[in-house]
Amino acid sequence: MNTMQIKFSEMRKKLGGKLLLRNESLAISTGEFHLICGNNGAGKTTLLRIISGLEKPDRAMLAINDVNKSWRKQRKYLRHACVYLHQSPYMLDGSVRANLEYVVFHRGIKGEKKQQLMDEAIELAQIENIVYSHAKTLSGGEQQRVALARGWLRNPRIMLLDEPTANLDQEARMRTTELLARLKSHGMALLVASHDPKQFTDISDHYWLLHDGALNSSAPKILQLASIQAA
Amino acid sequence: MDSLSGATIKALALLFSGDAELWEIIGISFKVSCIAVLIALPPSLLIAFILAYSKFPGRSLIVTIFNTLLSVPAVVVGLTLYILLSRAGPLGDWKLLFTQSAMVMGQIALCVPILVAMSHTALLAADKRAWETTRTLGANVLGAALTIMYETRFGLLAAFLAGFGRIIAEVGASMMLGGNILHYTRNIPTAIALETSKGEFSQGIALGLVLLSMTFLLNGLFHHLQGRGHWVA
Repeated sequence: MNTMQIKFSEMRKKLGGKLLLRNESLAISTGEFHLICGNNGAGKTTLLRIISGLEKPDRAMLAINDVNKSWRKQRKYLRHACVYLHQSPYMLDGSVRANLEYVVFHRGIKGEKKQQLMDEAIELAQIENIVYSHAKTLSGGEQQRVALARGWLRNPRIMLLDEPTANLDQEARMRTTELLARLKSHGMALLVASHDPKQFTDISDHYWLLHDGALNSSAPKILQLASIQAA
Repeated sequence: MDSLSGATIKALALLFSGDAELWEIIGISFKVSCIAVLIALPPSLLIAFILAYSKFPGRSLIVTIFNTLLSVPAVVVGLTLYILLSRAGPLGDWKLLFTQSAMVMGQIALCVPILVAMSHTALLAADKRAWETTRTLGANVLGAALTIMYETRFGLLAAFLAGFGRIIAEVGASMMLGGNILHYTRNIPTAIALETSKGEFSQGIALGLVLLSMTFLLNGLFHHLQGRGHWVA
């Protein structure tokens, strides 16, 4: 995967009278893991949705490899380059295999290459034993792994995850974190919004705290919070 | 007048003896209604989808209009189209009055509001994450729309059956626009109305039985499909 940097600047978003982002900046490069922390309602989800192109900001500029344009003009690129995973992933009606095939089909990949990619995704997410299960009947942890495999198949530059370990048991959290580490090693940039930082301290490169509309690079505070949680 | 039981026995005899005239009426009915619902379905789904998935000024007004059109009597739709298609009307040059095409037009006008309103409700009931998931997984707008329609297929199928049920059984528009011409525009409801007015109950009952059986079969099929798709215990 080629090295690439996306830099957001002047991100501003007001929602329901509350200023969630006030002219904030964020630079993301391939292979980086960004952990975004903040209280409930701080705007973490909104920030991820803006970055993924799903939600319009009031204002934002976006520089891709130093070419600066407005968010609106770059939206198509963002949709192409990013995959956004909901806190509770939506499984399409059908088997796990059908969910994975959906992505490959929309990438226009067929035949041997398709099979190879599917096998790779199944192995990566360790979902061999549930490939033919109905996706909607899986546990939260299994759905999260299927969603990550599905996201990986899309081959995005950036994967954005909203609270990926929320509502999961300890084992499922560990497996999800391991999978995220593997995705990172594949050169994918990962942005994770969480209020459970201790889960990701081993793989995070950048720590951000979103508070009162301000996005601050704040490793000490987050690591302190993580150590308190771990204690 | 025959007794009810006698008329019913005669009706069954007519049906099972393969009475040519009776089955021709049934054939015309199904042909006209199938064409109408198949023509009405794609634009109705498109309208329902736009109403469910996009925001624009006047959206609520359009939804209200379609919901209001649900209760417009078939005979009013027939009358409106009759005026438009009659020789002196603005569409008189098309020379469609008392043809199967006019009946199809009337039935399209009747089933579009049902298809739009019920499909809109079904699409609104879809999980809000479904659209975003399909888009973020690389589907274009058409691909995402088709996926959402698949995800809501039981609601959409219910809309289709309700629309078809409405037009196969309506008499007002078909009578006014088709003219109840034997071998051409006489369908099940208009034939029932005619035969009943003549006191010939057996054919009316036979046709009524066909309608009832068809409704029963369609609903049975729908519940069977819905049951198979109902994976949650």
